Amino acid sequence: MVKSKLKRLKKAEENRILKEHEGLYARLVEENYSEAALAEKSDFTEKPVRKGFAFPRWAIATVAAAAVTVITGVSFAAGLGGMFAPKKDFNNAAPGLQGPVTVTVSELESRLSCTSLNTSALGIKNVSEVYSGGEVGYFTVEVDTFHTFDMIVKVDPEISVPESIKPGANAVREVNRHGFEVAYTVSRRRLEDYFSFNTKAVVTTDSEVYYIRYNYSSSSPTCELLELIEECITPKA
Amino acid sequence: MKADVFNRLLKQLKGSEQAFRQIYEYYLPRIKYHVASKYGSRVDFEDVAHDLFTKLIRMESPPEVQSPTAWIYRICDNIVLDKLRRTRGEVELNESISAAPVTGSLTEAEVDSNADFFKILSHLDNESAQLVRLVVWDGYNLKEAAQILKIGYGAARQRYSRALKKLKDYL
Repeated sequence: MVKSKLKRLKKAEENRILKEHEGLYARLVEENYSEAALAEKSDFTEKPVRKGFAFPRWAIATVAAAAVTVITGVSFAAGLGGMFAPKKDFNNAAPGLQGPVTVTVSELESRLSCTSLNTSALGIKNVSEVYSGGEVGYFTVEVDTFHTFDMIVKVDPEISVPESIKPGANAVREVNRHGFEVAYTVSRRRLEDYFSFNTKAVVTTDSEVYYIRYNYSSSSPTCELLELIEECITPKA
Repeated sequence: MKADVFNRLLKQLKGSEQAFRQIYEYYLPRIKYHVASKYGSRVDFEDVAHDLFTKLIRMESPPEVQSPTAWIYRICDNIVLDKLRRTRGEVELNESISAAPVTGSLTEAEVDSNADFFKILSHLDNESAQLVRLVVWDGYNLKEAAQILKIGYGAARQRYSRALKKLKDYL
């Protein structure tokens, strides 16, 4: 009782001080998070490529890294008897690399045959298609107003989602916008496939629901977001 | 703020305005009282807060902090000391300028006159008020507060409990 009253008084006092110093907050944001301030500070400030072939170098490097990851994964799966190998090699997934085209999220979902691309959880502002076709797509996404990352999206037609977990209905999601934590449902087989070449994620199980929990890390955001975005695709049941 | 939450936010600070907002909203009021009570009107609080948050945002590799509040206060103290050191140099050059009162800063008494929370604490003896302030306002746990006040944990618990009982009459 006393504690809660004290806490209420504390909250009121905090609010009063914050209101009193609104100008300070605005000044700090302007100095550190405005477009101009970010352009000075970071190499990641370039907007995602939209038209033409003006790829930033880091984007090409990231796509290359993603490709290596896929090849590693495919090789690993092939080594296990081809159980998890995708239907197509990513090199043959599309007729050729075309210029990047900006697509809407719903178009992207439609092309990937998935019901939900969890963009809000990631704070994705825009999605630019770089290359797509068949079951593999590469996309540049804009995250957090100034970070842009390339992602690779694999849609495996063999993914099975338990009947009890239908996207949007019983699927358990837990999103922390600040921590970039996402809980997502996938089949066990998919998990086994995925984690055979990914050691960063932590998996816990709760009856029939599988959680993959990632913590966004500023130390290697590109790598972790690649993994995160891949898992934010909900396949059609 | 818990250490794990703080460390996570600190790592995201460079790129996420939301992370900044959380840290800012939690620590700004605390810094204000810390600076006002420790240094009075000798420094401008907004300057200290501005320098502190700028340092945090621009930190290249944030450390793993065990006690966030103590760490933040330490940085504030260092900023204030730097400022006072610089001001001392200015005094030697031009006393008339340094004699002018610093605007924008508040003494603890001035701050407290607006705050119900701190008015309530004035009903307690000094040690108990410090303890309640450390726990409720600064967010330390009882064990940490006991260490800061250099008293045993048992004594701190007892003092805290008595203080809350006493405050019941005023709330």
